[in-house]
Amino acid sequence: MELREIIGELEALNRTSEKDFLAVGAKLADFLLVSRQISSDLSALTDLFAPEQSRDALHGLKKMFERAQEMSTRLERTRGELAAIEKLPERIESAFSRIAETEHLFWQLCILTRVETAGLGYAGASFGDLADEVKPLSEAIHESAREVLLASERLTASTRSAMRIGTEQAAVQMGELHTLIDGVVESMESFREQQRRAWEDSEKQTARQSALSDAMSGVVRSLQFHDITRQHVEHVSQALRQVANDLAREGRRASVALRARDALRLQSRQLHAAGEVFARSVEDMENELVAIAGKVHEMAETSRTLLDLSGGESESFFGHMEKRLTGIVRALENCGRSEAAIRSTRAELDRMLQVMERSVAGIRGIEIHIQRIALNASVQAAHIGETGGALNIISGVMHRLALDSEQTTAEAAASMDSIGERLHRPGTVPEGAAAAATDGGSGSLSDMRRAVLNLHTASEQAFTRLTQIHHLSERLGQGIASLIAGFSAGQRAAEVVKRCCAVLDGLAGSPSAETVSTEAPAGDIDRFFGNYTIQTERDVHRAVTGGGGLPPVAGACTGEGSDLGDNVELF
Amino acid sequence: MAIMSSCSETIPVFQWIEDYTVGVAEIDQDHQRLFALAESMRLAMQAGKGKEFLRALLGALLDYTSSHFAREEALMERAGYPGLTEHRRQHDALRARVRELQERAASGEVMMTIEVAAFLVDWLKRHTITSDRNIAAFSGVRELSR
Repeated sequence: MELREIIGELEALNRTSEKDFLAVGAKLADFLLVSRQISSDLSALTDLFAPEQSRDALHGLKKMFERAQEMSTRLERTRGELAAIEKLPERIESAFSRIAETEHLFWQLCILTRVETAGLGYAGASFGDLADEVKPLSEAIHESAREVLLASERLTASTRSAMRIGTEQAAVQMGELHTLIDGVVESMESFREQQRRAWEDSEKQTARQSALSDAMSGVVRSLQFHDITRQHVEHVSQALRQVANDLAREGRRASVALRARDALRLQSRQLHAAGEVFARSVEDMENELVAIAGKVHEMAETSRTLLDLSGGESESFFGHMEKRLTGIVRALENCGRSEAAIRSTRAELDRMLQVMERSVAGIRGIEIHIQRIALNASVQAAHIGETGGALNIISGVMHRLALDSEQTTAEAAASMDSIGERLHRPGTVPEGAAAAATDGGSGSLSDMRRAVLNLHTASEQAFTRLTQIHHLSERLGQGIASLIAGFSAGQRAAEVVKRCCAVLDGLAGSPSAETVSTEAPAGDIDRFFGNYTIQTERDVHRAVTGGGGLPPVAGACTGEGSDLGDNVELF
Repeated sequence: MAIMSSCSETIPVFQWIEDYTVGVAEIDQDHQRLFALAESMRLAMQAGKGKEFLRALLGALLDYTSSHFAREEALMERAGYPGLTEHRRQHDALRARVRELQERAASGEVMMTIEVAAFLVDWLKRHTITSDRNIAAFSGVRELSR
């Protein structure tokens, strides 16, 4: 191999390794971009998983559960009251069950009155009014009582329906809600633990990210050192070119040949040193890349664990959270609907109660009227004397009958009062303005729904950030792996340097250079080599990039009796 | 998609790359569209607007399942792809799942974005990147795409 071939090979090595390293540099720029994105995602994730966020979320959930418990209690009380109300119409029905009989009795009494007054002739004429007045009144009582009974039947049906639609379903829903609440409360601690772990992991991820940045800086340093080595190889090629030119011009001169042999030995050693540094530099860079790949893999795995992707889409931690939150919102909405259904039924019951109360008030008025008529009839019978005895008895019976009816009506009225009182008992489902106030105030269903949705949004954002970290880490890991796999500059450089050094050493001691003195002053070369080395540049660079002070460059470079030449570039 | 442009400074996560090519322009364009949809959903969720985007996404996915799957199945038939039955079964399952998700969303369920996003990621990984690339590897399809 000729000297010019070596120069060509060294130049080719520099070109290809530069290309390889430029490719690494370009990839590194991509990696840094991805790494910065991961860092930003981690920072956002740490905020989302911060303990205070977790505390706030748990506090919000607890408040929600308390409110749900209140709703549950209210529905249970309402259910109890409706169960009690359900029995009351029976009493009303029982009280008015003899109303037809009473009317029949009044009717009989009216007939008897007419028979008696007819027998009395003129003296009993005024008693005809008694029959005429009492008969329609008793019919009116019957009619009103019938209205009450009808309303009572409807009330019973509505109460039962409210029990079934409003409370039994609500009880089922509340049961579901209880289960959900129990589930969430039970998992609250594990949720908290998960949050804490996630937060700690995201902190660890941040530390990993910081280590990743350091490792990337390491790769950048390796690239910079490689650039120095490349210059080193370039200097060797220049020196060899100079030797080749000298030999071509004045190769026959012994002094030139001697200098050439020394120069070849020196350049061989320079090249060998450059090769070693290059190999170390490449090894460092590859090690850094492997370390980065390891850290990136850890990040991807941690994100995967946090996402809990192993269990599939529906089994992940975030998937479970979403289902639980959906369940809570659904149960809350169902409870709201049940409360609304109960409020509507209660309004209906109120309307029926008013109808019954109006009818009962009417009956009471009639009863008082009949009592007054009966009392007047008794007085008139007393005026007639002995012949009015029978009429006196009839009016007495009529009076007692009216009193009995009054008592029955009072019983029904008491039952209705009881229904009204139970319908509006405190602690049951609020109604009208009270319900509106609750819904409009804090802790209303809409507020709770909003709180759950916000919690879900936070969960959604954490999921997205983790997904991003996972995917970007995977992508980064794959990129680094393919970079390492495709990086061949180290091996190529080692081969070229080994081959060129062997040729240079051969040329330095070759018989063709017999005119060249073999008595080369090895000590001088060693001294020269010790100073003429780009290692000084590396030391300066390492000191600067490492943040330390400058080494004693001047002394090393301008060593005793030596000159480093023009081609040593300090930067 | 307005959400995409508002968050354009982030690195795309769901991005179609040349490695995923099937070699048939129409199918590749469809796949690019699916990746773009997944990316839009990711950006919307990151911006806290996932629930607002959900219905539009599911609507687009349903359209996608009818147009793209039909195109892909026609291509497999023309090419005599041996895995057609299995691939069609996968399409049916995906179609049914999208319908189910859309029905739930239409009934007012909004807290299903994580489920939908996870489903979409799974779809991209298992079906688009894996199964659909098997189609590309089949010689019959390669000949058709020339």
